[in-house]
Amino acid sequence: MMQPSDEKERFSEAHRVAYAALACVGCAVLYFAVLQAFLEIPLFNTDTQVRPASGLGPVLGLFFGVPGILGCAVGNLASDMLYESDPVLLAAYFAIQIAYNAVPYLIWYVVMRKSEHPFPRLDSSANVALFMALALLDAIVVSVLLVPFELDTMVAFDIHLIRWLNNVIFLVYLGIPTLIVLDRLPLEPLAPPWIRLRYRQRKTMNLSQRTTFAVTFGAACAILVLVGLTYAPRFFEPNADFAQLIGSIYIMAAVLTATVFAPLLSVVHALEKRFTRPIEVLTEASRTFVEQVAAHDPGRGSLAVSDVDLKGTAPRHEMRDLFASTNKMRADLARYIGELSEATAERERTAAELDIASTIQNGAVPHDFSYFSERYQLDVAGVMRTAKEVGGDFYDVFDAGPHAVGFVIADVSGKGVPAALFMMRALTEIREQILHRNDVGSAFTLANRALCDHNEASLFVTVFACILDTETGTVTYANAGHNPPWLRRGVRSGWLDVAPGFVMGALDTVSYASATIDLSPGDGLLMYTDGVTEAVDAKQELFGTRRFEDVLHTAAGADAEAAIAQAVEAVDRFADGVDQADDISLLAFSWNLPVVSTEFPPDDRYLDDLFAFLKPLTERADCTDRTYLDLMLISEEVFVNIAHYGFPEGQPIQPVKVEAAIDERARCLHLTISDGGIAYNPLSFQPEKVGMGSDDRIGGLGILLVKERADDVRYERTGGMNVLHIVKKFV
Amino acid sequence: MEITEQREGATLVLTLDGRLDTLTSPSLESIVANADTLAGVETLVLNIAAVEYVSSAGLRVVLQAHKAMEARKGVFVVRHPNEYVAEVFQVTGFADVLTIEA
Repeated sequence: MMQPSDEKERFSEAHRVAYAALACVGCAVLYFAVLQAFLEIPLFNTDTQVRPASGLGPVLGLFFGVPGILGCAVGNLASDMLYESDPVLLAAYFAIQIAYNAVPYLIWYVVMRKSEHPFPRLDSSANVALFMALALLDAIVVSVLLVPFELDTMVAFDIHLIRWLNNVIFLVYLGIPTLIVLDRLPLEPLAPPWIRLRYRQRKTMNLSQRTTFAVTFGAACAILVLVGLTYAPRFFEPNADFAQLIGSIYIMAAVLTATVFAPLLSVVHALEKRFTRPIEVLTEASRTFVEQVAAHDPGRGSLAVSDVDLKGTAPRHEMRDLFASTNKMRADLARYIGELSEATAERERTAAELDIASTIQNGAVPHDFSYFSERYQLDVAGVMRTAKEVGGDFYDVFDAGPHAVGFVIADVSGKGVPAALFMMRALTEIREQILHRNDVGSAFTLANRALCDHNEASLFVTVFACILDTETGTVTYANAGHNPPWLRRGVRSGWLDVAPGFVMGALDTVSYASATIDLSPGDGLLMYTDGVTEAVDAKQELFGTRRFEDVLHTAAGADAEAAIAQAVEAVDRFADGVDQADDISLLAFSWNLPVVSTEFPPDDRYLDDLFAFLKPLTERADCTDRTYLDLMLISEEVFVNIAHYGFPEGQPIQPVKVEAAIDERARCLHLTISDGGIAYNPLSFQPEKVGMGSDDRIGGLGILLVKERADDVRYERTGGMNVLHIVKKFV
Repeated sequence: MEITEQREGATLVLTLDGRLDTLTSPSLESIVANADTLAGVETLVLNIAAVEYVSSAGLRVVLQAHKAMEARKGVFVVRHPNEYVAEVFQVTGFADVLTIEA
């Protein structure tokens, strides 16, 4: 913070010198003009001395300091030089003028040195009283100083009196208005060096100032009018003695001034102390109250606001009551604001903690699935969106064996912090159990028992979990009250047929069983929590299973990430700004072996084409000729079987679809042959070796070869199709 | 698939070249099912050295030939199966029924 004196020094020296010079010259000119004007008037330049200039010098000196003192003295000197030539006398009068102009300036700034506004501004009765006292004193000083110069003439005492009265009266009745005008002008008073404050011009008059001004102005006018009215007629009498008249006027004016101003100023002073000053103090305090409160640091303890500083005022009666109630209001406000700040800080702390909790919870759920996609050619995506900062949904993806991946999706009853805490427990428990038991069903049973334990809050959780064998595409799953996942397999997609099972964490006697389903390459599962289907819009309508199905069908060909994104977008579009009611979670994976596919009409003649389709898949370093021959054999048997028996009379002929996918990691080929013929499971035909005498039973030969040549073969009837899935390792 | 017939007295040698699958088996079948072709044949030899692949359709025709020769109290020999075809014969039990000469 810059000290005021530093600012003063910064203010250009040149500017200050120029200003001082200008003030000096201005004062000189003004003084000279006023002095000469009145000296030229014959009436005023005889024995009587009506010298209005006497009122100007000290006031200009008071305001402009040294330049003013000097300037007026120079002006006076210039005038004296017109009537006097003795240099000693001129020098003496010059010195006396200096003293006359300097006395009020010096004494004023000494008296006011400790004041907040030491500059000459008549904004209080005290200031006015001081000025008037200084006027009296200054006039005495100059009279005393002039005595040695008038001994020879032995001027009568009354001349001295008249001159003293002249000085006093003009100092009061010309000086005070001049000072007021100077204060209102954009001029800066020049103070002596012991004054360190910087001058700031007040734009408007404050209450004290207005009061003082009004009162003094009124009193002065009244006095002048009274005097004028009393003596004006006498001026027009034929034998008027001007000197005597002036003397009478002066005396009356002086007496009236003393008798009127003394009590008047006392009354105004009392008013100031009791009313106007307290009001100013209260105004200032109220103005800065808010700043004070805003600057308070909540960490430093409670806000304590002191009572309003009276600053030397003495409020009485209603003013005192006003002060008391203002102080009480300040204290109450401060306390209230303190309590609010604490509450806000507390709330912010809680919000920050919830923020961290949300981060922890989000971190517990996997987001980066690149490990699984690189290792197993799995396409995995998941999203968890809590309704509040923390929630009760979760999903999990983890290694569950040398070539198995576990998937879990779950929904804890409720939401917010309680559900979140139980969610963390459930997530850990279920993963642990699945990793340590060979069967998802028994894992569920044991996890359930663990979660029922120490569950005072009686929370429960619905869970669906499955383990995908990435070499065979077999999915082993179990359900505990959770909504069935969506089976993604192109046009044959649909809800997985799974028994509901009981929720986990409610009864410790429940046992769970697992089921299996075989995926073909490219198939996948999409798991979700009911936050999706139970999302509401502004009309309180549910998103529902039907809409969800539509989205899932539309996203049939998309990868896991895109499918989930489409689902979330559909829900958001449906909700259209309505707050999320429940936690939303989705987890999807696709067993993504690159698939090539083709179709043939169910006719023997396409056998060569089938072989041609398979050949490039086996042209690799790790595949021998015999593997290709095996594949040919297997596919021929299956295809010919379909061609010969799949489409009897009445069965509309449909092409046979052949899909092949290579699993690089497991080094095997997945062959899926599907047909829309009559329902027939070729594997159900008894494989037969040829035996002696057997004629008809040679039908099982083909099946024997298929089963014997393939590493794995499975049949499924789904979506009106027979689907045969064959796995052949590259050898 | 190409079939070459070679008659030497009472022995008929059929040399096959290519795959013996659903599409190509009928051509073999037409020979073994033809009574005229087999007239006076006491030994039927099937030379499958150049056969890289045989499916169940082919096996059926081979069995058919075996039964046909059995019916006329003749001899049916399968010669020179490659490793793969030999394995297929083994797995399907044909190795027990047929007379196979390496």
